[in-house]
Amino acid sequence: MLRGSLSFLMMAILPVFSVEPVSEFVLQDKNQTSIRFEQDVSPSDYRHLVSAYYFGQAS
Amino acid sequence: MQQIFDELREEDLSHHVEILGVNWSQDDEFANDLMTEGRNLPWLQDTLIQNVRDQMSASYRDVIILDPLNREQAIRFNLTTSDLALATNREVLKKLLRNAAVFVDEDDDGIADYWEQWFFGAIDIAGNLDADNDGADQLIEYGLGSDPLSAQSIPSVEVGLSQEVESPRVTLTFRRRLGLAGGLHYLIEASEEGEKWINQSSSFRLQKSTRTFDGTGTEIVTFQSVSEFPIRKMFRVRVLKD
Repeated sequence: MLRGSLSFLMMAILPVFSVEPVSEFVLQDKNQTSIRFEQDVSPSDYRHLVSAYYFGQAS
Repeated sequence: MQQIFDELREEDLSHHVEILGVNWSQDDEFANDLMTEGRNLPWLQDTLIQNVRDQMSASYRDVIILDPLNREQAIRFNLTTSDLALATNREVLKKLLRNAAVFVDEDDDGIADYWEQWFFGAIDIAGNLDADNDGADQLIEYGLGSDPLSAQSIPSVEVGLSQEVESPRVTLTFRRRLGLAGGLHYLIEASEEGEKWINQSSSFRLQKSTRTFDGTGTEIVTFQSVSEFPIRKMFRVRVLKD
């Protein structure tokens, strides 16, 4: 019961922003030391996992 | 972000989070080497055609967190307004990522709610239900990364013999959920006649793990026995909830 209550509280703190998944895309991994170097990468590859995308560039 | 990823992995393996970078510059790959030096996170080159930054309505240096069903989480983090050089900002970001990865199982069947929502559109599906009649109930399908609605997708365990040392060792290869998945236990059991099964997990060591990136949330693992089994045995993997 406590575990279920805690789960409900966590969901209240961080509600899902969107009901729909993000649109699918295909981008190539350019990091030579990444395990996915030169592979095509899509959000669907990471379904069933939490993923985070950060947008940046060298300056 | 590499530091955030490394710290999360060191601190707590139960919250599995993937972090990927996206080049804000869509038509210039010139500085990609600078962004990836000393880092092993994927660095994705956005393009004018894919235009991911507009698709996701991203602002420069936004961190967008997606749940296991690829739905965006409510809170965005921005690396300009919240400089990760400050420890407090790093802790805020890590907390956001951990919160997104917390295991939620309202019906306490050992299966993550998002998984049940994805396949069944509801979360109160009994863990011992075998919807596709393939002989594997939902907990096994969830634990071993197969499709619970397809009889052609059968969770499997490959048993083999390793000849790398003088005495052959038994190997078992199967899919396993990434992270601790709320406390799933994978037991390796052995039997001589197929009726009485004995837990032999302590006799095996993880030999190899391979990421699949196939949207199942699992990795392929190979366990090898630490010594030779003198008597012919049958082996199986049991998936148990915490």
